[in-house]
Parts: sequence; C-alpha cells; structure tokens
Amino acid sequence: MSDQITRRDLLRKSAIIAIGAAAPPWLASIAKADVVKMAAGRKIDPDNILVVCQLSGGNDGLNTVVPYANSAYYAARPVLALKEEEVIKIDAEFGLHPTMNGFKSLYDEKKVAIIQSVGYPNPDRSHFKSMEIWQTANPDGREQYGWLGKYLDNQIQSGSTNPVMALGLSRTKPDALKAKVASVPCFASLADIKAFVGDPDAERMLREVQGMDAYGSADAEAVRKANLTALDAMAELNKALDSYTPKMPYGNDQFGQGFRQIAHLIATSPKTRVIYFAAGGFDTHSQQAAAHSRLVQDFSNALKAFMDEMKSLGKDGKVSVLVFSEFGRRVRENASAGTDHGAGAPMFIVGGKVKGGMYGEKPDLVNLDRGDVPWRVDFRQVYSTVMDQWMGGDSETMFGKKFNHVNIF
Amino acid sequence: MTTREKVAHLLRRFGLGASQAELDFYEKLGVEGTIERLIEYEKYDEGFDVSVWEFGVNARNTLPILQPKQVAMWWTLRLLTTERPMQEKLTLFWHDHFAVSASKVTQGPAMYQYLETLRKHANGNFLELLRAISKDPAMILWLDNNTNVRGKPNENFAREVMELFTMGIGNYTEADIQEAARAYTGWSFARTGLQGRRQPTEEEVMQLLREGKPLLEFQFRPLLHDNGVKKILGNEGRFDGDDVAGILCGRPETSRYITSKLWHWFAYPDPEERVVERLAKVYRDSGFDIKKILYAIAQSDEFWSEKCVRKQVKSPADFTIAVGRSLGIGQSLLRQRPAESDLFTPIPRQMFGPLRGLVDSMTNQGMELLYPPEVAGWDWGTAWISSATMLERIKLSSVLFGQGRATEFGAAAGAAASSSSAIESAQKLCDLFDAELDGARLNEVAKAVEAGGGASTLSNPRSATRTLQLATKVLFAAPEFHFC
Repeated sequence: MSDQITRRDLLRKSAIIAIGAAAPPWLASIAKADVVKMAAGRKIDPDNILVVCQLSGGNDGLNTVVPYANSAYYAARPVLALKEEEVIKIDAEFGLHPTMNGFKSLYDEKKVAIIQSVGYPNPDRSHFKSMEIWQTANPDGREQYGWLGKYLDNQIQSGSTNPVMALGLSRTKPDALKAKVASVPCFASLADIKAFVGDPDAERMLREVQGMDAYGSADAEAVRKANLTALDAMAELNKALDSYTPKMPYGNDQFGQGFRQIAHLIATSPKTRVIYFAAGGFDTHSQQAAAHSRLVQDFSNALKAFMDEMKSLGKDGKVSVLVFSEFGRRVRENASAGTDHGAGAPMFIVGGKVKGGMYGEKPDLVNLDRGDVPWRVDFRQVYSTVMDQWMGGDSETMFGKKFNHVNIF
Repeated sequence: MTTREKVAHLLRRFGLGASQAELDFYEKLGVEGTIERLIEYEKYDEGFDVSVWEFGVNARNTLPILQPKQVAMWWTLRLLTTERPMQEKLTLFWHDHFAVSASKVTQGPAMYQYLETLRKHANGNFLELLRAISKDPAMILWLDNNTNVRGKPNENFAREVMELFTMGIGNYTEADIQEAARAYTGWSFARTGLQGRRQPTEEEVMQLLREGKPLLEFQFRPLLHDNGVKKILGNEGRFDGDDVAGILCGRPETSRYITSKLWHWFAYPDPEERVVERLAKVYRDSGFDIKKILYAIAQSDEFWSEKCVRKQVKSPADFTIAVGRSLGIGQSLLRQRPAESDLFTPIPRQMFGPLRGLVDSMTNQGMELLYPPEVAGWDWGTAWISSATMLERIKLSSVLFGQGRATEFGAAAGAAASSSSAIESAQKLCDLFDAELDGARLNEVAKAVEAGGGASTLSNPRSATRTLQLATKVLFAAPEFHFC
C-alpha cells in the first residue's frame, strides 16, 4: 500500500532508479523489482541474504547439542557420550560439543536459534533419499525442483532476478537449486570464477568473439546476449572480488575455506542473495569421536569467523545461515564406536536478526522412532519461516500447504 | 554444398556431431549411402559392448547395485562411442517424448530397461513402440498405472498417452480419457518370472543378469482389469490398452503431431503445412513406420535449405557429446577397461571422473539425462539458452582441459591442431570441433592460441592443455558454435 512507503524508501527508490538508467539490463530489472516490493509495503528487506550450509552424511545431533542431563543418553552411549563436565553448557539440560567455543560465543550474542528434533514424517534412512527429501522439501520424494529453485523461479516471475542472484559453491548443482526456469551458476571455488573470466586479455577475447553487432537471427542473438550477460556478471563479480579480502582467521579445512569464500562473496557481490554450501564427512559409522570432534570444531570456528566478518562489514543483520543435515544418528552407539543413520536432529539458524535461543522440542530419548530421535518439528516449518519472514517468498505456494512458523525472527 | 558438407549436416542432425573421423568415413559412402547407413543402423555393428552392470558392480556386494546416475554415465559412454549415432539420437528423442524421470522411478535397473525399450523400437514401428512403452515398468510406475484398477481408475497414463504421446492436447474429451483409463486397468509390473509373489533370490537375479533379461516385466492382472465395453473417440468395444494404442495411432491428429515433432527435432520448429502433410501421409501410408518418416525428412528439400542447415540451437547433449566425440574421449576411456570384461567386472574407477564431468556439465546446462524436468520432457531451442547455461557451456573448456584433467584429451586435440601459425591452428581447432566461424571470430580463437603460448605448444601434450583450454573457451563462447 502506497501510504506505507516512508520517506526513506522514496529516497532509496529514486536512488535505485538513478542507478537503473546506466546499469546493465539485469541490474536494472532487479532494482525495479525491489522498488515494486517496497511499494507493496513489504517489510522484508530485499537484500536479505540466505546462506545454506549442508552437513552431508548425517550429523550426530546428540553429540553436537548434548543432552548432558539425560541418563538415557549415557545409557545408550557408553563410549561416545560426552561427559557433563566436558560439554559447554548452554542451559540446565543441554551443552555444546566441547570444541564448539566459537558457536557458543555466537549463541551468547543471541545470534543462534537451535531448533531441536527436526525431521519429517516417515523418516528415510538412506543418505540419497533423505538428502533429496530435504533438498526438494517433499517427503514423498517425488519432486522435480528444489526448494530454493522454486523460490528463484517465483522471483523470476516477479521480474526480480540476475545471473548471480544465487550461487552454488560446489562442483555440481545441488538438488535444492534445481529449478524450472532459474539457472544457478555453481563454482567449486571462487578461484574458478577468476579462472572463468581469466586475465584482461582473455576477457577481451571472450567479449570480442561475441561480435560488435547484433545478429540477424533471433536465436543467435539470444545466445550472444546470454553470453554477454554471463560475462558481465562474472566480470563484475570477478572485479568485485578483488576489492576485498576476508580478514578473520579462517581455517584451511572445508568449513574454514567455505565460509571464507562465502564472506568474500557477500562482501563484494551485493546482488547475490542465496549461497549454497555443502561440507561432508559426517557419516561417522566407526571411530566417530575424533572425526566428529574435528568436524564440529571446524564448523564452529568457521561460523564464528564468518559472523565476525559480517559484523565488521555491518552486515550481520543482513545474513541468515541455515544449517541442516539429512538426518541425525542412531541414539545407541554401534559396536565400532560409531553411530548409524538416524532421524530427528537439531537445525541451526544463525544471524544478526535471529532471536537466539532454543526452539522445537528436546529430543525424546525414551520413545524412540526405530531407535532414533523422533521428529517433532517438520523441517518445512523452518523452511517456511525462512522463506516467509526472511526471504520474502511465499511458502504456501512453494510447499503446497501452510506450515506453522517457528518464531525465530 | 559439397558431399562432405552434406554429410556433416546429416551427422549433426541424424547423428551426434560431425567429428573428423566420422566425416572421413561417411564421406566415402556418399549422401545417399550415409542416409541409409544412419537410418538403417541395425544392419551395422554398434561397436559398443559395455554392459550397464559394469557401472553398478561394487566390491562389497555380489549383486550390482545400479543407481540412475550410473545408468546416465553408462549412456554417456555409449553416446560417446556408438557407431550407430542415429540410434542414440532417436533414443534421446523418445526419452524426451515418452519422458520418464528417475526422480520418481528411483531404480537404476528400471530406468535402464526403459531406455532399452525406447532403443529397441527407436526406428521401428510407432504403434509397436507405443505399445511397448505403455507396458514398460518404469513408465507404468511413472504415470501410476500400477494403481489404475477396475472400479478405481487412475487417469494419469490415459491422459498423457493422448495429450503428450499421440494426438496432442485438445483433440479428445475428458470422457475419452476416462474410458481409455478403464482400458489400461490391471496393467502393472512385477519382478521377472515371479508375478509379484515374492522377492527374487540373489541367484535368480544373477541368472537374469547373465541371460541379459530385464529384472522387471509387464504384468497383466486380469482380476483388476475392467473388461467392459468402452467408448473411445467414436469407437466402441471391450478395449484393452493395446486396442487404445491402435486407435490413437490411427488418428489423423497423431500423424501430424508425431511427424511435426520429429521434424522439429531433426530439422526446425513449426514446419510448413506442406511438410506436415507430406510426412503425415508417409506416416499413414507406411503403417506408422518411423524409418520411412526419417527417410522422408532426409529427402525433403526443406531439410537441406538455408533455413535448416546450422540453424538449430544445440541441446546440451548435442553440444557436449559432439565435443566429446570430436576428442575421442569415449575411445580413450574404453582403452582403460580391462580387455576381458564381463558384466561383473567393475568399470575402472578412473573412467568415472571424465564421464561424471560430462554428465554434470549437461546437467548444469539444463539437461540431466534420465531426469527430464516434467512429463512433457525438455523445452528445446532457445529454452536451452540462459546466461547461466551458457556459462556452463563455456566452462566445458576447463572440464576438458582444466587442471588435474586427463592430458590424453589434450594430446589428441593438440596433435590435431598443431601447426606453424596461430591462425592455422585456430582453423584446425574449428575443423576438429566442426565449427564454422567468420574471419573476425576465427581471429579471436587465433589470439587465444597465441595467448595460451602459441601454436608451437600444441604438439607437446603437456603444454597443449593450457593453450587448448583458452582457445576452446573462446571457441565455445562464439555464438555460432551453439548451432548445429
């Protein structure tokens, strides 16, 4: 409604339009769509950013957010249970894995929502299937497109899109980004973006081979335009990447390198709103303790460095990180000092605008679902919350029904 | 057009790209000989004997476990190496037409079997193809016909068989669909030889694999079949699915729909009325003979016109497979396979990397084999083109020649492009990849050869890859290169 446009919005609107006049077409189109969004009185910032961090393999939720006051936990895990005096306590019942100091300090800053016992009906214990379910947000597993892909398709329909709106930091495209119309570039690393554009000579050749004049054939012209748009976007990204170097101490592990690159992207690519990142190694069937400890430590340190970087850029209120794994692990440890595939597990949403604290229901270690933590919160409730309250999407259209929000924003 | 140019056009459309080796071979056959050789491929050896099961063998299992993605890699190897390129081009067409996705049919063996059904009938009789695919387990599962039973019909298959597979939308009523659904009741599938009574033993599965038999088979369930009289499109009788297929194939709308779509796939979109009339007549007069339609396409003046030659937007498969065939990637991979392989010999692990690279590239370009985006298949033409998909096409240069990639591809391409000057090497690269660039664009490729280290680097496999990566990147970025 027009009466909800504030003076600031108007100033901003005109500024965007001014940019639009000289900007490349895709830049102008997103600016225009942003104005439309504000004109419609939406309260959601059009430049909110979502980072999805996927823990592949099935993270052991119980040894990440440890129910240290629960005797059933100790009974089920004589070898792997973390002792009360080891864990970093966050309340009278739960503590974090001893290596997760960084995560704890974010929690103390009230930037971390821990949502417990997240899952979905009839949990599937196959990595492949369960990952597909999480990525397509459909427990029937019969979905062509990813949940973020659907969001991006909707954005395209509303005219709001650009070639770098979403980026995958992975060699192949995750199912979550699969879309009917939207097409998301994926790069194994930012170095690949640099390599794509190449040095100024290479970039000039890539442009010149497009030719100076428009083609007579509409199809050839479509290819030429798509190429030029891609080159513009990548060149801009490439140039922008040079303008900043992440400053926080990131490790050389997969999380450290991943979050360093995510920080780098956010610092330099204002048009990027969705970044997808996956890290592996969580399938800890045997000798879990050391491996899992290392993983959650790397994760915790990297996330802390990332959020600190965002704070130093004044962007911590613009970013939400959604952390999930395809399932948790079996409550009872196995004979190889490991754990097998489970069901319900905690999810994390981390960001400056997040209302920090504990959500969901604490894991029920008595009434198990085939030996696993039963789910109490449907992951689509979390997705819907993020879509509706953070990204300005429409979860009901995306997921085919309305899910109760989790009150994390 | 010279004979070589005509043969190249045929190979681009009726094959999987005009590699130099294929051009040399087919040019000797002449244009008519090439058409015959491409269309009547069953008379000639395919030159491919890799079993799909080799891709599923896992050291920890006695039984191969076949994932759809492994079937896609196996198919990619077949696309790269087949000496019957038209067979695969047609299979791809029917995969798009009778689109079934592994997103729902999650079983690799069922997807493999489905592809084999398409391949078996690809240039045969359309009615037989339609009947076979209607009984294919993957299709039955995909369109829920296993839940289509007497008294509780599921109309999914009946609708799509009319809307997408034969007549096209708008040529039937909802009542026709409801009646046809009844005809398909009781059409289901079961484990081969077991009629759904129990799970097969491991030995039974092994036996089927050894005999080359499918693991699933069509099952007619008489108790679930509605044997009553149905009225479909003005016909009345105790029809079953085979009868419906017969009725649908004979419809004039089908003759136009199928032949127009074939024309679109092999020539160009929106064929002129005279072309449709001509092809539809061939379809009817020949009793739905696909080969006859293909001949009619190849013998149409319009197929050889300026409107057609090098005017079709390459699909991701056209683009990727043709590049792979030009480089001989398939043959170089096959050389890594043990000579005495049988279907329980695992494919060497190092073969997976390059195949996965190509499958992933096609996926990122918008065409994931075995995963068509919807029941209507993929959108063609300029729908393939977006800034992100073009990015992926240009990036194929680093998939092929980037760091850590097999230098063997580089050695072959380097040798083919080796010369004493950058411009000559650029031209040779264009020839290698069947690219037709004008002088200015050729010059950009030459600049890339120069910037990569010069033509002299190409003769040495080690220095060639860097030059090739830059030169092919510029070549793949040329708009002309995306038309076939």
